[in-house]
Amino acid sequence: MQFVKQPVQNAPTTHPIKAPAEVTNILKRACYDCHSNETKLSWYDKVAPISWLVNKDVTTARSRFNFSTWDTLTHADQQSRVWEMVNMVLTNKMPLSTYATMHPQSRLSNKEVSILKTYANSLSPAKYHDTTVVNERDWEFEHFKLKPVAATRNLVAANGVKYIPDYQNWQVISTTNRFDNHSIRVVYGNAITVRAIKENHINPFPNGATIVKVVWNSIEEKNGDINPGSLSSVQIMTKDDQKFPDSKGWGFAKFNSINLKPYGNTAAFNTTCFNCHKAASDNGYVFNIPLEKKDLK
Amino acid sequence: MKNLFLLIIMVITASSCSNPSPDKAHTRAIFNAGKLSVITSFANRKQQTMSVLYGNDAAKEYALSSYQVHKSGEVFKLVIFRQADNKYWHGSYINGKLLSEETITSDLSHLVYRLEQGTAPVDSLGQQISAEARIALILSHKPSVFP
Repeated sequence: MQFVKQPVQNAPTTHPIKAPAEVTNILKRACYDCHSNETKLSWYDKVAPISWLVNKDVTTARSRFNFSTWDTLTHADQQSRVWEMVNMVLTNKMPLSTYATMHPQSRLSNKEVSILKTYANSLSPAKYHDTTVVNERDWEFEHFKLKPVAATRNLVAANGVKYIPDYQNWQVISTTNRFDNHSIRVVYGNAITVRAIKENHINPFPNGATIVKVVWNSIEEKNGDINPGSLSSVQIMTKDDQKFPDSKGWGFAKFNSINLKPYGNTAAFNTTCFNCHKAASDNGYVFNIPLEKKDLK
Repeated sequence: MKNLFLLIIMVITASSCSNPSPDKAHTRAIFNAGKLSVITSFANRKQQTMSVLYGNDAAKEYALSSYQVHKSGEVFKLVIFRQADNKYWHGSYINGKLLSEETITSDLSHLVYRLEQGTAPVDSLGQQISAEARIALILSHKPSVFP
């Protein structure tokens, strides 16, 4: 007896992930039941109402990424999904605790997490003094010198989040560099954000809190120097519970390259951004808040 | 009845304390550069440092001229932090402990260096670097491109 909903259906594996066997063995054991077309159901997974929850979880998981169609993603997308996976495991967001209780094989040992971290690192090798980025930066710099202040813009993302030319007058809340995607960043916060951080009102951040992150492709040198290269994007998070109820109040935007081209054809891109930011749910969904004093060494 | 009353009081108290003011260990420092804005940022993985060079408008113009056209009134501020693991995202480093704050101001025709706080960087032999050398090093950084 199955009531109305159809149980989880499997589909062909058309573009499987290509990774070392020690990596795919872990993924197949721990992740494939939700994140692939090769879901193996236990008998209790097929009985309503549990089957309804299974159906929902598997559909959501496959929409996030699917190992059976993995190779249809661009290399950059594959790389960023792997880093996202590693971070979801490290922050104990994955496997879902409800799932792991009945499926202990989904839990990863420290050694297995290490294997996935090493694999993620291998997808992002350092390229020293990348002349492509150096040349792009030099070209942009010559043009930036001539016209250092952006002309008045009415740039808006598909979800209504506007570009904010004034951010350079805000306080810098943090600076970061990433070795997973070779970027260096400056993160600015408006007055509401700065006060929220100082008063620990970050769970949740108050409405009106806005964060602007400027991202440059980094130029890495053998002596350890990491310098900003060409502009990658200007990214925005702004809090408005009324406008963005499905993403805990956060509206996201990304304006790509020196021409600030808005990312996302429809407002649905907001969900893509939010899904990754779930890994920072303990900090109000913001990754780059300053460290607490106790963590400063 | 008394227990129920106490329980209600406890629930109300607990729910109003969802965002308590942080104690000292849990505060988060944000460096305040006043009216100065970012000229550039950079890091060094081997030294484990992250730096931000701030400047006023005159300083920014000087930097944009590749430090060739110098007027008076420039104010530069270099802040160096320890590079720390960003515990919220593996793959990322974030600024940690503040190591030093150095200021360069222009006084008519020459530039004046001052260490505001912390310990200034030393050379590869661990020796102190002269003010002139620090100025030259700090002002060798190209401004970041902003759209």
